[in-house]
Amino acid sequence: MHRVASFVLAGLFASCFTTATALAPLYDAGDPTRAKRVDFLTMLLGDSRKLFAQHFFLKADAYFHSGYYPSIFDTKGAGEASGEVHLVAAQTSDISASERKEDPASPSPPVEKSSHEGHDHGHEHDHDHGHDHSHDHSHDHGDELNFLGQASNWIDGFGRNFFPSGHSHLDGRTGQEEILPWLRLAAELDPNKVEIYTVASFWLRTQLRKPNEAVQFLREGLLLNPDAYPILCELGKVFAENLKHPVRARHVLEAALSKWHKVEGSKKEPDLFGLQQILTALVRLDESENRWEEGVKHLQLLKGVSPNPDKVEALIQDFRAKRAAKEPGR
Amino acid sequence: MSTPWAIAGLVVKELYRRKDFYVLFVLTAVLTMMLGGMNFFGDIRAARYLKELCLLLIWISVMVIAIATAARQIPAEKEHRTIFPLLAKPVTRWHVILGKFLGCWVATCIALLVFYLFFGVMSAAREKDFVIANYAYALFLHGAFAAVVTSMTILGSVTISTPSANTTLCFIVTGSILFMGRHLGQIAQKLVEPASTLLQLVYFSIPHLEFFDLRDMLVHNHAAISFLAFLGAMGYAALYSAFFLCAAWLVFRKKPLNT
Repeated sequence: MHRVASFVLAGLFASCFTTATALAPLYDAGDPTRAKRVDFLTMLLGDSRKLFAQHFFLKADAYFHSGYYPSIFDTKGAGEASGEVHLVAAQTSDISASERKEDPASPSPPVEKSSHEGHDHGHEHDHDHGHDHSHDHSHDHGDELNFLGQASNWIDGFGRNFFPSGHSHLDGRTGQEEILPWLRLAAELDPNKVEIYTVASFWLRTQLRKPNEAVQFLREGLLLNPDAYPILCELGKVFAENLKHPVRARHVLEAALSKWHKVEGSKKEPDLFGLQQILTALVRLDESENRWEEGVKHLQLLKGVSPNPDKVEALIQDFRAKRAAKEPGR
Repeated sequence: MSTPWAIAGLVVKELYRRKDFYVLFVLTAVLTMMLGGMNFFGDIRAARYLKELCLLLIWISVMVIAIATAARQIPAEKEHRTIFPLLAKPVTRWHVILGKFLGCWVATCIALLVFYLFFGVMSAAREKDFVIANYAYALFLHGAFAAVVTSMTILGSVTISTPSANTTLCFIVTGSILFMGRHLGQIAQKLVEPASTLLQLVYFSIPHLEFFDLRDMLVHNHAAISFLAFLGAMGYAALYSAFFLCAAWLVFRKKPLNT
């Protein structure tokens, strides 16, 4: 009797297993969403992984500030707490002071502070965090970084001895690799957060001198976000500025421009800052290759969206003069 | 004073026999080494993320060891009825409280030392900057943290009916203080009366365990904290530990042992 029961049990198990293997492909075929392969983190965390991604993205910014960072309770630092990060500000102020220092003759198309404000970074940055900003220092960011304020009682004051309570940045090219693990993790958790790819690429190519890794990471981002024009724009910059490959840079930047029109063209409030970034990169490329005619075209487009159209107009005149000098017959 | 130390010796031996520490240490070491083997953008220099995660694991492990060891001491003596022969000897209830505290604390400190040795070796292997003073301060302050948590758990073990409830409560209280203790004053200022005053009372009454947490200073290689601040924090821990132990003794002194 016992043996019969065992046989029946084994037979039932075999039937269950066979039925399951027969039905699974049919079930997957009937529901196209199930056919998508999901990774372990997606399966485990679902959409909540995006919250963790934002946390790790802010963690990278906290590392950039050597641990001096507002918590959710520090209201004076509401900028950071609400997800605005200095790493992004540094990346978007790419075309600023330090580069002008490197090449004083550069026309430096006027994408300036006012346009950063338009990009919704609630704080002003009157200095650049990129390129030559490689020393550990304390400096004034205004009230925004004094989020701790005056100690309200002895516990508050005494407690400040035990955590970083002064503003400083990672010290130069030997310290800035520390932000990378958090950016990588943030990208794993939220592969559709385009900002992560562009910020990581900026630090990889400018501070850590790893343009090939930047390209690889941007390509990963582009595969997952095919319409992400900021990724294409950043990729174009890597090709133009770091890998010195102007032809590829031009193709990629033009693709970025076309994506911008596709994605933002029909919007009521398009991302003008993104467009400025793309056009600025193209103008730079035109200038470096002495393509004054195309440069004028790009500058004319830039004039329509720049907060400083007069400066852009001056550049247009400059480019026209250079074109005339190059082709005296015209 | 030899009687409490004799009791403490037994507690330390018990920790050797139990597997909590070994499991937690192996888990911490394995996870840290796995994380250390990860490669981000071909750059193997990044060390701070590893230090942060290793320290987090160490803090969790030490909390588990301190609370789990302290929470079961007196209830286990009562449950196995070994408290009666113990108190039949020339041992007072204060000796029992003090001995159990010392035993749990010393056992936790031994575990802490092993964890910090591992952390120090791992840090030294990964980066050149090594603020030794801060490592020493961090170790001592972590020991002070263990003293406050252990004494608080001993108080819980004589007031709360079951060890599991005490353990859970101690974890919640310790975790909450570490996470929110620093901000309670700020939150209280934004509340309306009487909630504001009540929260202010809580803020000034709780042991501020965040004083003993130097993780961010270690992770970001900040300069060593001032010696006076270190001494202040050690004194603060001594006062709170003494308070919890005295409170535990006052409760235990008149508590019937056969319930």
